[in-house]
Amino acid sequence: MLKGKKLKHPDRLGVGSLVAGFEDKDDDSQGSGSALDLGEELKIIQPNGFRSGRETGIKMVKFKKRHWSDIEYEISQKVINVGKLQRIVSTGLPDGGNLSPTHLLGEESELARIKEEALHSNEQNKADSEQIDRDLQRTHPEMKFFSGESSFSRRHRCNAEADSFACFVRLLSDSVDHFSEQLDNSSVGILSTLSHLAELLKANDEELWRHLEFTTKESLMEVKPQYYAFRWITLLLTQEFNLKSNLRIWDSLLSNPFGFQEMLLRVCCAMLLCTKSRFLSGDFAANLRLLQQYPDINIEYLLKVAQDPSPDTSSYSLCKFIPYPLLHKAYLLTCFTKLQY
Amino acid sequence: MAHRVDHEYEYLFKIVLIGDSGVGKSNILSRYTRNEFCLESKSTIGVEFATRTLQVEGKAVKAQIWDTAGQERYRAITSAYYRGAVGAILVYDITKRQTFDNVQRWLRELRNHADSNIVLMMAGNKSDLNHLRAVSEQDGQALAEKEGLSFLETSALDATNIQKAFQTILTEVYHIVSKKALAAQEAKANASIPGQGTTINVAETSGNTKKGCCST
Repeated sequence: MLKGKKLKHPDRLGVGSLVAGFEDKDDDSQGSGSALDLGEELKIIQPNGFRSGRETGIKMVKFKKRHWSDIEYEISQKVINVGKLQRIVSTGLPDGGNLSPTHLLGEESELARIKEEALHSNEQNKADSEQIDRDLQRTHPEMKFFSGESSFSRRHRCNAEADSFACFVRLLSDSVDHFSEQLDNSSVGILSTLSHLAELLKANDEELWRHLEFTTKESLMEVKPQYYAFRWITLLLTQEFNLKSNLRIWDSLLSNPFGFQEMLLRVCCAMLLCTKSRFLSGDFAANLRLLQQYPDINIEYLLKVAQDPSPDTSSYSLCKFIPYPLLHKAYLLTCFTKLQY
Repeated sequence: MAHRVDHEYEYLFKIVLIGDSGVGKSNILSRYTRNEFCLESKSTIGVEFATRTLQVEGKAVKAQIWDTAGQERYRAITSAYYRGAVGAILVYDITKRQTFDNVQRWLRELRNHADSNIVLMMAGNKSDLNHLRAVSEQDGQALAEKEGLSFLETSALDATNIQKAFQTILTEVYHIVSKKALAAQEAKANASIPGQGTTINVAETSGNTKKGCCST
């Protein structure tokens, strides 16, 4: 599916000087929203669709409101145009808004069932939930997730936990094959996905691919995707970027018409392309260190590289269409937004 | 993997850290390579990697240390990381008996996936938690002797024996590699002398034959 598909090369995009503020959605003086001109008919953003990153705070607020109202409008339709909704959300969801999670999810009975299960199992497995708390703490120590002392009421806390769990279950259903040992050597297992990434890189930049696979200075020591992309792919990039950048990346992963997994591989490939010059000058150890501690980069730029502006439409039939996780993502974000305040 | 290369070091040795999840492998690595310790470090997913160059008997040796994920799930994938390793430090947690009992499983894992000449060391980590000790030093020592491994109790938290552990295993690897290099040189020089054939292990061969005979 991915073989031979070309991403637009960063060097050829001509957006290398994109304003840095794009990563910071909260900052009212800049922010991704302020720089985009999204009209009634929303389109996948084009590289040259960016305006100056400096816009007034008032305009930003207006944009946020319009962005949210666009989403609300789409969701309120009897028949939801998921393609349109995906396009709106692919540029990132702004914070705030008055969307009710259940409204967004649109599947109240199933949600209620999963929530019930989540709450029930939490009671049964105290040790598990303690471990989860610990993992959350050490994965994102800067975030106050579910700290017991927070002003967040107990009832909300329970709901948010169960809601997030429900979303997590749906999200995981898309990557579950990577966690199944029996499938390790099958066409849907993690090893096969890792070789897809190598193929994607080869199709997009054979020089870089060759360099990583063969020509590192210490011979016989190729930089294999197993050494870095295993974590990228299984953890959906959560250890490579901070939470805020991750939420932005997830917006694109979940709303992208290529499908979640394919977009994930495209982002991974873009991560390699965006740091090409450093790889070419580095030896095995330096390259592996770079890959295992990925540097801070402009997320909008990274996503632009990952997104093929002229996709090969013949492969669309092979892509999995995933409207639900998109809705869940919006929902998850609402949960997170609530939790932060 | 023991290439002689013309960089700032003369030898490059790949060492892997293995053992159950949570025994402190990543902290042993960070203590050794960056002199850092983190009580709440993240679980290792896949593999992590760091290097340090040191002197072994006057030679500059670059240690390339691979810290592998301890979780059971990842074993099928981490086994690929053993390729080319000349040394392995098998870590257990002295406060968790289970991690010591699993040492045998890790040894099997190494026998299946690593080079048969790999130099092994066992490290009983978290020796600073003596009051929570569940494995005595004697038990560790006894197992190490039985399996023919060198052994040390370590603490990544207070840095006890961390340097020593790496220095010990790297020195042992260096001895083997330099002995091999010497032997290769001698073999080359003596190539013309007859009677220096390969030793054939008769006992092993006959054992295998017997097994085959009984099973048929």
